Amino acid sequence: MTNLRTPISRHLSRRLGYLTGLLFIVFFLLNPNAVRAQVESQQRKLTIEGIELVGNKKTSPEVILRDVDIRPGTRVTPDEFADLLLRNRQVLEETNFFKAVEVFSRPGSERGKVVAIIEVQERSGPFFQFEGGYNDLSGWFFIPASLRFDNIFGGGNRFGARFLLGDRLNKLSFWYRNKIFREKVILDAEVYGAGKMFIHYFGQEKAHQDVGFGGLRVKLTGTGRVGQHFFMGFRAENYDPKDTIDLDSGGLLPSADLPPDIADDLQEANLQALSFGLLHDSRDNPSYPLTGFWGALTGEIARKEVRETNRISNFGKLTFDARIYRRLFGRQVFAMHVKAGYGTPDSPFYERFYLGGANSLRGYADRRLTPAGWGTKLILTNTELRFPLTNEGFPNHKATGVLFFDSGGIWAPGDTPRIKDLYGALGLGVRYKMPILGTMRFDFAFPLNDIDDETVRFHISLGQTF
Amino acid sequence: MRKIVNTFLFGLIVTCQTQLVFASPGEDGKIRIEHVSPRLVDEHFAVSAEFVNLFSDKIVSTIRSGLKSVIQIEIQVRNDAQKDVFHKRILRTISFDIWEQRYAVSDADTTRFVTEFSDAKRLGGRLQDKLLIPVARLNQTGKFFIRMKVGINPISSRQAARASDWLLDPNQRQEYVASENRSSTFEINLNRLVSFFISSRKQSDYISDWFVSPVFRMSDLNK
Repeated sequence: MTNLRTPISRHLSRRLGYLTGLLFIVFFLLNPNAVRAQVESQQRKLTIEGIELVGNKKTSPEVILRDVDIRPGTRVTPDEFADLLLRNRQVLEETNFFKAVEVFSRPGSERGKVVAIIEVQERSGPFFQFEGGYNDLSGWFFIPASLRFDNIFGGGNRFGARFLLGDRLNKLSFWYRNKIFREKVILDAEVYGAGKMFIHYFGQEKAHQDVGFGGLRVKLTGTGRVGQHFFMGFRAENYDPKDTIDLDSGGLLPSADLPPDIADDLQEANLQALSFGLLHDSRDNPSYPLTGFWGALTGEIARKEVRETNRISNFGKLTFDARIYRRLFGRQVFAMHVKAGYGTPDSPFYERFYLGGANSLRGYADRRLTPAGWGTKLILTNTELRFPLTNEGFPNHKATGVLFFDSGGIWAPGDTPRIKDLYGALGLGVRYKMPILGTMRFDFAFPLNDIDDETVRFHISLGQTF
Repeated sequence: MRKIVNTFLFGLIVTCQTQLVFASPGEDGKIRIEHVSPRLVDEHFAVSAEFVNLFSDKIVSTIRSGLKSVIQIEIQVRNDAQKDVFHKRILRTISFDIWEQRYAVSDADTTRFVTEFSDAKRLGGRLQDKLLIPVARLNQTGKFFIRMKVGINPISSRQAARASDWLLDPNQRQEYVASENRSSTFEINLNRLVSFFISSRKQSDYISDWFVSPVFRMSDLNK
């Protein structure tokens, strides 16, 4: 069969080739302007001769040019040059280093050459931000006072202070960010003190426990084609959990009645951890991906020392988190998120995994599926079919509808993961872009497991689920 | 802890007030609209106007290097009850062909070529008896006035950028690691928000203020 087809297909493709060529010749004979335009468009390109920086009194040219991708010697059409200038203006505006950025151009030293002009207006002092959001562990939070000193000395440094008030978290932190090692690594550092409320479930009984913590976190993330896939971090923290747990129904649960996984971690402890990871991001648009992949594998080794007894224990954690996006017929997007985690049994409860909530397994309350003492083995999948409800500006449209199926399981130390332990939920939701807040998320999730006699749970949050 | 927080909040209030006091717009080289004259031409209500300071050195240099600049003219004709009876937006493009060494001034339906920038400036920087609306559609005894505004986009729309630049990343913040603590946040730059409202009258260096003509009747206009 193959032998018969090959000569026929060759013959047909040759004929098709001749026909296409003939059509092109006829088209160009009938449209001499098209030929001229074609030739002219190839010839009439501008050559970028250089970049001039204006207005940078304290900011070194290197700090500005490290974010700019205008390359002298490049040949571009006038339209491409305009796009290039505008794109770079946006990039520089997003650095927050300047009050204003303008882009212009001027003729170069000879006809066909052009010079890009970047004019910046530097900041003379700090600036303030109001921030807010929703976080799986902390609930809703606001940062009424966030003070930033971006590029205050002109070296491209960012540092600031923020005071966070939350549903279940209060935190004061000082942070620093800059590119180091010839722009090859991004350094993030934070010193902070915080108080967090942890939620526990003991069967149907909900309880909460305050944990004070503070310390230092440092993270190094690579840049460039290869470096961007790697990161590593270090943290040195002090944890001081309250030794009693408040029951939501009233009263206290004394430490003697607590499960061993919690009771063993009630003493004040110092913790040092080293983390490392791999990262890959090929999404076409981070805020509303139509296609692509985002994945991270993070490993952590940690050492915990109880302050009173000097007892030392080591633990480790491995987390895999991946999202895949595929555009289906038209404007629908199939999106899937898989997360798997493993922690060694010695890990304290405040370092373990949770399950349930708006950003986790929908259909159940925040952390509702988490075992007492929290989990050391986790699997979670979120599958969504996303479709625009408004068309204008797609993919930056206003409203998106979602049908979803979530499934997952979590196990305490010593428990063996089994299929029958998995939980599930089906649901539908709407995401709507609001001014200032960004994307608001509303989900109605129907739990497939009978946990609290609930038939539907409503989640409200910000951004896409993943 | 409380002392630190109080000191921090006090610093915030003092600095915010300082920002409010010192945020004041400047007026140098502002684009202006002059010599606005409504007329009746071919049974239409028409208007002429001149735009001053439209072409700053930066814009001239950008045009001469081969990039297009877009002039946007907003014209409203209102009655004495302050209601729009007519609204028109004119987009005009000025470009320079560095190979042919000529300027092109393009409106919606016409393109005119000139070799001197002074001619391009004259063509782009004015309206000459622009026909707006058939006179028959206007109340002959009613009172009207014209509101007009002009702006130039050196490369593209600056107005859109201005409206959004006090909003930082309103979408979900990028996650860099497989986090145990997933969050979605928003941020508002308070300084830019304050200056946006304080300087809203100033608009931009590339946009004029609204020009408002004296009130007139159709019967008062010259043909």
